[in-house]
Amino acid sequence: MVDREPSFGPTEHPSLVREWYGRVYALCRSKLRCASDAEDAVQETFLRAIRGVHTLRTPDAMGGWLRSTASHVCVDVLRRKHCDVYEPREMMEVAEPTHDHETEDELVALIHQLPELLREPILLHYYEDMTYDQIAQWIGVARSTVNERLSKARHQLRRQLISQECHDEL
Amino acid sequence: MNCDRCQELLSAWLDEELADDELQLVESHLGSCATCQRVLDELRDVEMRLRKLTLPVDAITRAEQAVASHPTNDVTPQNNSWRSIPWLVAALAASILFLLATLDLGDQPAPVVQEIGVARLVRSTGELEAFDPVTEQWRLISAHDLATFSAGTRLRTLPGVVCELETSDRTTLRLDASAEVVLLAPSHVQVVEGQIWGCVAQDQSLKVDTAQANSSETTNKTERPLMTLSCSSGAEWQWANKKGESVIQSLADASCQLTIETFQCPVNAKEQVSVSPDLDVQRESANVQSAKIWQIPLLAVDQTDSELEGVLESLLIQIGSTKAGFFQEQQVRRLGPAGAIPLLAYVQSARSLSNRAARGQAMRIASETADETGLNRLRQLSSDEDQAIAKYAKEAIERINREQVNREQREISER
Repeated sequence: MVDREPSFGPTEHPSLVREWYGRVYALCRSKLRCASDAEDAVQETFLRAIRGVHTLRTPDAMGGWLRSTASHVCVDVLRRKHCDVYEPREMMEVAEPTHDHETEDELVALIHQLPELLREPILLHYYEDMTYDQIAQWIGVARSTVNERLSKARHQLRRQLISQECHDEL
Repeated sequence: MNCDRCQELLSAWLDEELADDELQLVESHLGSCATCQRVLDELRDVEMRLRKLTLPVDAITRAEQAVASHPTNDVTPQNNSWRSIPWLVAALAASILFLLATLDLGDQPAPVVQEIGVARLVRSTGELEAFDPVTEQWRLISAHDLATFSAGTRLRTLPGVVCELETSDRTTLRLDASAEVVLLAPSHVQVVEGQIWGCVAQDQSLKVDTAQANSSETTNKTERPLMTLSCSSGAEWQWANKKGESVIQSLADASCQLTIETFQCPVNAKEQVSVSPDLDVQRESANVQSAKIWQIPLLAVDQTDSELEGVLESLLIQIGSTKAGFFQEQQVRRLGPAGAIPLLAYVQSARSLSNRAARGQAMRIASETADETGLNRLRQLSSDEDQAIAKYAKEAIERINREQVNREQREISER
């Protein structure tokens, strides 16, 4: 990566969009419940990246810069659209969602019931199949913090699902 | 291993991220505990559902096409030397900016963050703010922003944040928490509030003077006398404006010249001069070791910084043996978990092995101030050859785990 030209468009080689998309999407999705808003936010992040890529001190700073830019874009989206409302796109197609028919939107809605700090590590792990060390480096926290957040997130989801199933049985 | 600890580790077990010793303990416990086995089955159910998370179909392709069709997509740097580009431009523009800064443009600072600048952000422990004269609002700058600041920028650190800047003259400036400066030129800085440390580059000079608070803000800040500190090549200095008093220190062998209103007051090498609002001047020796304690969390931002090891060693040697060392230990403890990380890094460094006393002091303090951010390092140190170090590490791990369990129980009972 150090020697590669900073092109963000489709090229013969895997583009930087392709390389960073999943991580940036996980960050935006952890802040924005609407899938379309998250996708728009990711695109806006890369568009802003084009305008400022030549100010980077080193290509190794790309990750931190994309992360910071994406955070600002999400703040702008939330301010502009007040998008805090869950908009399921496919839920209406299934009368009673079961595990097999659970959509991505429904899963993300479940994750959005977690505190914001716990959402991103979960999304990174499943969207990008990242290791704990990779997540720690991207987010900028200790590996033990990633471990703790993933563990808390999974246990909270476990308790939510148990509580949901008990409610369904009543 | 008890059930609480096992269940804490099940998530990492599912991801195959456990260390060998923890893996054995978990599997051994699972083999004989139906409760934990049930929890594991429930976590597996969560896992099966979350595995369906995927990126939207063709999202990457859509993003690539949007980017490729953007009108500015043909902007690529002409020079593949990443470090030289901003500073080539800054070096050329600095003289122009200095001329502009001397023109009477009123009180409004120049636009905040641009590619051309008199200083750049090198590292920071958190966010800063820069004053935008267009919106007349403070704008947030993240620790990861590759910001450069133009002449006239007013900059301040948030509470608890320490940052480092480098001017285009290669002079280093470090701002303590809640400090505020105005960057007038590469060789001219104004201190508004808080504590600032600086080291003037070789063959350069620096002028530091007082500034009043932003007139657009309501303030009850005491008017300070006009003071100017002239620092020559290689000078290391510190300026603190707190509660109306200004404390200026010369921390290296070079002296600096302080002008207070109209009279001259040299600050000799390793000397401290305190100036009250009514111009009462006091001189005493500067405590060179204490001067850098507040910078420890910042020095730890760059893990390869040898300056950090030197600062820690000179502090730790005094701790436990002198009265000054007692006060310095209190200052280090006040840094909290942010100070524990660099102490643990020092204990793990090769350099510390040749100074057992300092190593022991660092471990003692860090074991009492570390939180979960230091767990990884503590686990590594729990098998240190030095039994005292290993004992401190194990005790710290137990304390942190206990605190985490207590916090979770409190959260559950509050729900």
